[in-house]
Formats: sequence, structure tokens, C-alpha cells
Amino acid sequence: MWDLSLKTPLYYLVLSLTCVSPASAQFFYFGQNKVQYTDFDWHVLKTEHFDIYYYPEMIDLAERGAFLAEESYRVLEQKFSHNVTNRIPLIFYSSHLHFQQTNTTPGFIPEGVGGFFEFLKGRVVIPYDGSMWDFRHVIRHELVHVFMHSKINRVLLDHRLSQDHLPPLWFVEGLAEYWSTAWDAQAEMVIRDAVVSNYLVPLNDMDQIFGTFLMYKEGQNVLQFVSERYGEEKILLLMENFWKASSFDEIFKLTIDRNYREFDREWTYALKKKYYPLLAAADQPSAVSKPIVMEGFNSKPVCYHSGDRKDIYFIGNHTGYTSIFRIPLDSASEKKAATVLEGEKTDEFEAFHIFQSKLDISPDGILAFVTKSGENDALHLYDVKSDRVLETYHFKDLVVLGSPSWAPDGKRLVMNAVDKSGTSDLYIWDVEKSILTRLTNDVYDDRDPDWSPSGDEIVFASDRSSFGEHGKYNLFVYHLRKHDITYLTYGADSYSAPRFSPDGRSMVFTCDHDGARNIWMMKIDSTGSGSKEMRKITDFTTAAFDPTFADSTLVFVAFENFRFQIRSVPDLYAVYDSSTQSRSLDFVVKDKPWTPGSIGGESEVKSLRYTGEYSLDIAQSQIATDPVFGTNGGAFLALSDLLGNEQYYFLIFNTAQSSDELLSSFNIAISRISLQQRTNFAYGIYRFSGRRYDLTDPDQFFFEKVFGGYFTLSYPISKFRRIAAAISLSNSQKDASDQALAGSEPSNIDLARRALFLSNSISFTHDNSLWGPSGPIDGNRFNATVGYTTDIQFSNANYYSVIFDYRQYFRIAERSAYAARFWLFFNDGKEARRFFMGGSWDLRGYDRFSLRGKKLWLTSHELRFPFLDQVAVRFPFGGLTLVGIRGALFFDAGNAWDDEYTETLGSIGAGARLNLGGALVLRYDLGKRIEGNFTRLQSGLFSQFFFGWDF
Amino acid sequence: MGLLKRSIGILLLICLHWGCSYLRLQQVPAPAGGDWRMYGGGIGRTNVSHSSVEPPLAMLWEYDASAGFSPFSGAIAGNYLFVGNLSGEVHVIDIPTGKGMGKYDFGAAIVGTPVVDRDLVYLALSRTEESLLAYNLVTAKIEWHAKLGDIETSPLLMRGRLYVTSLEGSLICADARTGEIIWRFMLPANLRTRTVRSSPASDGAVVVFGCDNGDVYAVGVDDGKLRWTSKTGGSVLASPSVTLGKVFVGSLDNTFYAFDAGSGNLVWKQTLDARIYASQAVNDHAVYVGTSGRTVFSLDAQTGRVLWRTTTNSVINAPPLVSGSAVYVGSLDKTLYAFDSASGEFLWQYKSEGRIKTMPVAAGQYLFLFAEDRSVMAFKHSGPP
Repeated sequence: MWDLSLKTPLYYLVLSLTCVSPASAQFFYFGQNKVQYTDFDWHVLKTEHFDIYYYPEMIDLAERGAFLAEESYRVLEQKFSHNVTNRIPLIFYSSHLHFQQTNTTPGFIPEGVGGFFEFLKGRVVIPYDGSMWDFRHVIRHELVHVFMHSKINRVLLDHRLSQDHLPPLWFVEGLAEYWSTAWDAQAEMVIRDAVVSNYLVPLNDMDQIFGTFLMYKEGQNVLQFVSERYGEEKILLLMENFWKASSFDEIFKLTIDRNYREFDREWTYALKKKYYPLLAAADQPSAVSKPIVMEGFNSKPVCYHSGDRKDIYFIGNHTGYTSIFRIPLDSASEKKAATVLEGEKTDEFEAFHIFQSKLDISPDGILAFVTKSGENDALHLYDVKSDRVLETYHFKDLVVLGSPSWAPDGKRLVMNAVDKSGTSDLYIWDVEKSILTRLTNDVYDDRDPDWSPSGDEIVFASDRSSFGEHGKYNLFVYHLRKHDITYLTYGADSYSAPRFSPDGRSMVFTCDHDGARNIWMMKIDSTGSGSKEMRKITDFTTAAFDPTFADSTLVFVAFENFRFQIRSVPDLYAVYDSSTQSRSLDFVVKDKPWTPGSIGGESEVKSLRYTGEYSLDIAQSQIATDPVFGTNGGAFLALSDLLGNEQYYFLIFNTAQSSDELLSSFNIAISRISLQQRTNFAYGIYRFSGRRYDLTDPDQFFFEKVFGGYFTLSYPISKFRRIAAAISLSNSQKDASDQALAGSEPSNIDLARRALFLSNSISFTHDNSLWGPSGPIDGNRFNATVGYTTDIQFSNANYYSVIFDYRQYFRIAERSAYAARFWLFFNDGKEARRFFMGGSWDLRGYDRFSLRGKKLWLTSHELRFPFLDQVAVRFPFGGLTLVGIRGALFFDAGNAWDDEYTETLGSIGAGARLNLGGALVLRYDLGKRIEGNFTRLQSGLFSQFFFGWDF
Repeated sequence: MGLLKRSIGILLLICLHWGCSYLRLQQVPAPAGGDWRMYGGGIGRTNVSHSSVEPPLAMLWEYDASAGFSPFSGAIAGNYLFVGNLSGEVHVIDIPTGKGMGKYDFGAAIVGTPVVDRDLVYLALSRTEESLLAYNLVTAKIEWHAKLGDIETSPLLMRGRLYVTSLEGSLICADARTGEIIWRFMLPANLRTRTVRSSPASDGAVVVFGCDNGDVYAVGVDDGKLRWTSKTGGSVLASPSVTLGKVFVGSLDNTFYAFDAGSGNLVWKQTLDARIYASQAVNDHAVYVGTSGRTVFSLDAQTGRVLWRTTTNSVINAPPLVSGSAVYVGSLDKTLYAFDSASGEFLWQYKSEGRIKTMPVAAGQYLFLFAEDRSVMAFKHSGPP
């Protein structure tokens, strides 16, 4: 169960466009790579209830996390009236970039995922992002999952019921939020917007927003409402009553005496009553500000002046890839932003940290920004005038970089950065001298630095005040001459994103005073100190972020209709002068900075080096009966260590049809896969024996005994590219005699032969594709493989193979694409294997696998587009809703042959695709074959129904 | 031939099924002084054993009850231990030997402690229409049943009448002989929530119970009229005890309350460290209660002053049992603890295989422990401490 980071809700929206991207090497020979850049030296910290996995560089963080985990355990034990009797494995990473390398889950971890609980091994995996408050929140959130899972299972077990279901996801995640954090400005923003913009999804229709951030926050709000209106014990009772019905709606009714519909009426009415009056004093952003960018999701605008021209540069996601865009400030809202640098397609710009790291541009037009680039983040300098990257800096000891801000001399940059220990501090990078200077060095989270135009101060947001213990960030000034830090704000509100005006006499920032994050402004005096007053500039019902100056125009990001738009407010200083909402900044700092708790020094805590703790992942046994191959029985076992670095697979089955075949029909395979290092490897041994039907040689059955071993290496050059090599040695004995094939149709070709095969292959793969619901819609994929197979004992076989596969996807619109594929497969030599094609996956209109040959070519072209977004059918006994049916227009051409090429085959047509739960795509194609060596169309129509992803 | 085989098979299955679910005693359990015939050990629900079982204890036998238990435990009559489980079965165990004498599947979860009165056992059931019933142990027949809605509390038997609280928010008085409803007290419909998970207790004049909305109600035993209500700051899931002229009960507002049993006036309240899910035990001078904050408190019954406190390693959500000079407390840390009731001094502990979330009971020389791994264990004093 992945949990979305709560700092960055947009991540999930972006994720929803891209999350169907394949797991590493998931599909055929394509797939992107989860690269193990870092060699972690894992240790285990043993506390009363947890085994905490960490690496030595982050021991302080691990001890603080251990303290937070034990603290949460005590709290949750009471709330659940339950304890977890097994030790809970907690795997910590000191940064999200390290977390993305975890092998505890096979798929990619998007930037918005704040942690997850994996219930097969009961593991909780959590990265640190610099904020102790967020760390505490995510730890508790995941532990709520652990407790709830344990509690529900116990309830079912006590009533002697099977433990085969859990509450719906809105409850699971809503509870994890409700019992792990307070209702904050971000939650308020989402629910306010949903109510005021009229898209709140009632409980009865929660499936429509399954897994989204909106579902998390609505779930939290529902449970908060239940608690306030009916009593918090009802939440516990929803779990304790879980045995009473199979439908959660019914359990809900039994527990709070209202079904979903009845509850929705009360809940939505209460929300309307609470939020509609807001419109009397505050506004939706669209009502009072000018749009600049409406499309997609946008953040971190910065303005660049070049003569009379003012351009806004920003990070956005308009197509599924996060990139840097540019748009003129005075652009009409319908004008499309230009892409400056496209992200997530190349090794250099593997990921922009949308919403986390701001951009800055020097007076000379040098844009400073950070991306994930390889193991760590990199700082890039980009000349907007010449449109080229000037420099890229990697810092050996800094893992995550953020929010670079230029000094007025254009020679230095200040930024926040996280090192391997997890601490988030401020650094100055001298571009000319290549000197990195650390400004702060403590446990506090320092963010959003901005260099003053005078060059003497740096303002930044930090949780270092006493209010930081509760997750509140205040603004501070770092005085570069005196090297000391003073408070600019002090209080229980949260401040962020400070920006000096170009003349240095004003500053804009955001503050969540009164519950919603809005933009405020203060004057700065000649000494660099802030005034004693701040005034509200925006008064939105939802939220505003990332304010920046474009002369006297305020440019910012606004949240409305669940989108992050770039908007502007002109005449900022006039707005300031006329603002009636102000807050005094005349304060006296009363308390010392807070100190996070730590479990260090407690005698019961033990630290050990991790040595690998293996447990079962899958154990499955099965008996299968097939009219051709008879009855087979077998078992499959998979083991892996707690960190998922080492995996073992055992397969054993028997195909004997009589007792005297028992020994000769034994099949066994043992494999080990190691993912711990950057170079992944796998090896194994096998022995297979039984009747075979060779797909490449039609109508031929034979009996084969084969045993051998293999070794394969895969080196990921980057997320998008890899080289793989494999070698195998196998002894094969084919027998097509009647005795061997008793009961089967005898072969008309003598297939009896023995061989000792030595096979080698090497391949290169590139894949930066972006996936839609039925297959890729952007990027490209390429694989080139060469191989050589020879019978080193009997010389019965000896052939080489060349495979070339290229696929390109051209995005036409947000959800439409043109896809092209080119195949050239070539096997040649003695007993060279045949390739096969035909059917829904390649050459459509021809029977599946009906075209076979040692050589093969194919080209496919397809227009992919949304066809029907939702089809709902209601029956007397219930309803069926199909979502996201996609359409395709296609053209295919190709053929397969052995020695002589005969004709070119092809087809044209249209199809529909339906994704079922992200796991299966159903496909239906209707069209005409192109026959007669491409001279005529088929007289009728062919239709094909099958499953599988688009190429 | 095939038909014959199939018929025999079905017959065997039926026989096996009967064999698996059959409860009939040859004779009425002989009354004994230490009997624990309903939850709390009597109408006041004081959870003070009528016999003294002093630690250290040694286990005599273990019995698999085949499903889990609620915080309420079994009943004891003569040589028999009656155990209801959450799968709907009542098991009768022969105390000296630990052997099962029979079991009967009533088809719905049994949350409350059975009430045993001579040849009848009264049961309250959850998730079934006919939720209160009387089962004749000698004839192996259900004597009567009543449709009262889901009941997840322990019935109270007093002067030939059964008092039960139901989840729909009512206190019902029924004739124990016929099951006929004598009166029904309904909580006001305008309460934000009126579910009752608190078992009734009585001093002979009023029947007292707590409600999810945080109120404690006292209703006249004869007429079913409301005598008084008192408020706590949180839901009352625990069952009250009525003794010493007071009503004692804990609330989810982390506070333990003592009200005057006659007027409902607050006598004292004591803030404890955490939510109180569990009911209490009360002897002639002290109250013993465990909290979700892992702590066992002894409070002065007259003033509420903390006499002593001690901790376990996990949540306590089962009532303690006072037996002789010991207080027995089960914790989710899988341990049954024995403390000295006067000083709180640790005396003895037993580590079981499963969490302990059911109160122990004692009768004669035996103490019975119910663990989450579905086992019922019998203990006996094993020598000088």
C-alpha cells in the first residue's frame, strides 16, 4: 500500500497520468530500470517493538525515527485497543532518492509516495525528507496501517472467519491520515475547494476517486466528522464490527445507524454549511486574479526581464512528463506555454522535483534549477538566451538539492540540500570558484532560501522555532556578514516561499493563518530587517503558493478545481496599501528552539549489522489437467530477504503419466536473483522433462529432456538504458518416437536428436516511454540483441540471432498518440529457431502465431485516442461501470519466412481497448486484411478479441 | 449402490455434525459456594471472586474452545465451566478434568457471559433476530427465545428476571421463566448515539448501565422508569459496578467515576492516564481498573485517591478479578499478572500464547484464564509464594 506524501498532493495527480508506467523490465525485454546507485551498509536497530533498518550515515536519524515509532506505537495501541505482537520491520532511508532504490517493492516509486506498508512481510518503508514533523506523520500513518491490518485480522480470526478482506481504501487511508496528523491547511485547501467548486465525491461514490489524494483527504474528513458527530469510539467499532457483514456499507450502518446515502446527506450538508459562508469574505482565485497558465499542473514561477519582454519560467506537467516551460507574462490565457527543457526522458533530467524545488534566474538570464540526475540531484545552469545548458554540478556528499537562489552578483547560489545523514541545511555554491560552503548544520529543516538584492541577507523558511515541534515553519534571516540567524516571523502559523522584491524593500511569502495558505507581504527596512506588520495580499478560499515578483505584478500558483494554475495580480503595491487584513510582527521570542526526541542511549536498544533475514513470499502448489499434456502437479516457492535484495525461486513439478515415468518426468528449477548491487545478476540450474509442443514448428510434438544452467547480468546505465548479457549451457535430448509420445499424435518429422547447447547473447535496451491506460503514449523504446547458439558436443545446431525492435510514440494531445513499431528478427544457421507472429499483438487479422519463419519483419502504426470515458449499465441486481475505453486505428505490414520471401501481408482497421483494474487490457479489433501481396483488401471483415497491452 | 453409499455418507456427516454440536448434561449442576453464575459474580458486578485462589499458580489443563472470546468470560456452576465464544458456541468443560462435556452452536456470536441458573443457561447473542434465549441443559432444548435485537453485553439475572441491554439502545426486563418482556426502557431517540455496550449492574433497587453517548443511566428494577442519569466526558463502553452505595465506571475520557447509586450525584472522579475500555473490580474498600495506557490502578472506593498503580507491557481491556488478597489482570502483552490487592506488589505472572483480553474467573480452588489463541486454561495454587 503506497502512501502519498502529504506535502505534495499534486504528485498524485501527476502520478495518475503516469503511474501505469511499467515496473523495471516488466514487459518483454523493455521496461525502465530501478538503479541501485548506492551501496547501503545496512544495520538493524532493535527497540521494544521495532527492528529498524538503516545505514550508518543516518544513525542519528534512525534513532530519532525509533523514538517516533515507539511514541506512535504507544498512541496507536490505545486508539486501537490492540497491540501488534510481532516485531515490526521499519526500513528507513535518509532521502527520497535513496528510497527510490528500494527493492522491497518491484515497481518504481514516484516522488509523491511518502512511504508504504507492505503486508506480505509486514514491512514499513519510509524515507526522510528533511522534516521531522513529516517523518513523524508518515511513520504514524504507516503504523496505523500495521495496527489496522492486525486488528481486522484478529477480529475475523476471533469469529472464526476467513481473513480475506479489508475495509475499503477510503477508510484505510482516511483512518491512517486521521490518526496520524491534525487537520492542516493542505487538507483544508482540498476539502474547501471540493465543496466550493462542487466536486466533493460522496461516500457512496468513493470508488470514482479510488486511490487519489482527494480520497485520502475525504476519508480523513469523513472520519473526523464521524468522530465529532457520533463519537470517536465509532471508528474503533467500525473495525470491531468488521465481522458482522461482508459489505462495509452495512457495517457502517450497523455502527453509526446510517447507511452511506444517509450519512452523505448529513456530511455534505455540514460541509456546505461550514464552507459556503467563506465566499462572503474570500474568493476563488479565478474570480479575482488573471490566468497565465491553466493547463496541467504548475509550480515555481519566476520572471525574467529581457528588454520590454517579461517571460515566466516555471515547472509544469502538461503531458505526463514534468518539464520547464516558458510563457510571456502578458499572454492571453489560451496561449500555450513553450517547453524549455523536457524532463523525465533523459539521463540528465531524470526528474524535476515539481512543488519542491524552485527555479531562479539571474539578471544575465541564467536559469538555475535542479533535477535528479543519476544517483543524486544535480544543479544545472541554463542560458535562456542561447537555449543551452551551461553547466551541470554534482555534489558528492549532497543527495537532494532544492530551490537555488542567485546572489545579486550572479556568481553564487544559495540552496537547501540534504546529505546522506538526512539533514536539510543551507549551502552556498560559488559558481566561479567551485566552492561549496555550508551555512547551517543542524537537525532543523531549512527550505526555500532567497538571497536579498543587497547581497547581505538570505531569508529562508525553517522549523527551528519552538513551533517547529508541531510542524510549523517560520521565516528567518541569515546575516552573511555576522553569520547569525534572526527571526523574521514567530508564531504558530506556517510560513513558506519568501521572495524579495527586486528592490529589496518588500517581501512576499505564504502563510496559513486563518486555515488557508494565502500570500502576504511585508516591507523590509534599509537594515534588512522586516517591518512589524504583514498584510494579506490574496484572500482565497483555497490556497496560493510560490509568490514571485514581476515588477509590480504578483505572479503565483493558485489551487482551484483541483488544479494548480499560474495566475497574477497586478499593482501589488496598491493591493498592499489597500489591504485591510494585517498581522503584527512585533514579537518577543519566548522559547528556545525545540529538540527532536531520540531513542539513543537507552540501554534496551541494540544495533546490529544486517545479515539477511529470509522469509517466504509465495508458496503455491497446483495440479493441472490438460487434454494434450495430461495431468501435471507441482509447487512453486519464492523466498527473499527483508530488504528484497536477494531472491530465490524454486519450481518443482512432475509430468509423469504413469508410475514408471515418475523419475524421468521430474522437473526442477532453482534460481537466484541478486538486486543488491547496481549490476544485477541471476543464475540458476534446471532440469525439464516432458512432452513439448513446439510453437515454431506446427503440429509437432516431441519428448524432451533438458538440463543445464544459466547466468545473466544486467547493468543499468541509467533509468532509461541498460546492457544485458546472458550465457547458458544446456543438454537437450529430443525424442519423437511413438513410445516417447504415447497417447499423443505422432510427429511426421524425425525430431530425435541430442545437443549440448551453449548460448550467448548481449542486448541493449532503451525505454523512456510514458504509459496511458492501454499502453505507451509518449517517448520511445528500442532493443537490439545479438546472440549465438551452438551445440558444442554434437554440432547438431549452430545458429546466430539478431533482434531489432524500435517503437516511437508521438503525443498528439494529452490522451492521444501516434505509435509506430519496426521489427526485424533474424535467425540463421543449423536448426535455427523460427519466430512466429499473427494475431492481436502484432500482425492483426491473421490467426495467432500462424506466421512462422526464421526471418521476420513487421511495422505497425496506430492512432490511440480516448473513445468512451465511462459506460454505466444498471441492472435490477446492481450496476456495471466501465471506465476509460480507448480507441485505436491501425495499419500493420510484415511477414515471416525461412528461405524465400513470398509476399507482404498487412491489415488495417479499428479497435477498442479496456483496462481492467490496471492488470489486464482487453482488446477488440475489427478490420480488413491486405492480401495478394498488398494488392487488394479482404472481401469481408476480420475481428479479433484478445488481451494484452498496446505495443 | 452409489445411492446407498451417498446416503450412508450423508448420514455419517449428519451424525458427525450432531456429535460436534450437542450439549446435554445428565444432571443439573450442583450449586457450590464459589459459583460464578454470571458476569461480575453477582448483580453488583464487582468482579470479586467468592473463593480465594492465591498465587503462585500452576496450570492443570488447557482446553481448545475453537474461537475467540470477548472481554466477558465464562460462568461457573458446580463442576462445570460454561464458555461462550465469538463463533456462537457454548462449551461446557468439566472443571476437575478439563474435558469437554459438550458444546452447542447457537449460530450467532456470544459476547456476554452466559448466565447459569439450575438447569437453564441464558444467552445473549449478536447478529441474530432471536437474541436472548434460555437453553435447558438437561433436555437439550431451547426453552424460549426473544427477539430483542443485537446484544453484546452480559445479561443480569435477579429475582427471576433477566435484564439485558441491547445495541439499539434499550434496557429490557424479561421473565426468566418464559422470556416474556416485562418492560422495556428505551433511550431517547434524539441522542447522537444511543448504542449500549455496557452490561447492566444492580443494587436491587436500580439497574445501571452506561451508554456510548457518555451518560450513565439508572432505571428502577420493578417499573423500568428512569431514576437518574449522570454524564461522563466520553463514551462509556465499560460495565458499571454497583456496590458500597455507589456506581463505579470508567469512561473513554480517561476518567474513572463514582456516582451515588441513589441519586446519581458525582461522588468523585479520578483522571487516569488513558482511555478506559475495561470494567473494574471493587472490593469493600478499593476499586481496581486497568487502562489502555498499560496501567493498573487501585483507587480508594470512598475518595477516588490513587492507592497504588503498576504497569504491564500493553493495553488492558479486560476487567480485573479480585480473588483473596490478589488482583489478577490480563494484558494484551499475553500475560496474566497477579498483584497484591493492598500494596500493588507484583506476586506472580503467567505468559500465555495469545493476548489476554478476557477477564479471568475463579471458583473453588481454580482460576480460569481465557487467551486469544482460543484456549481456556485452569490453574490451581501451587505452593507457598
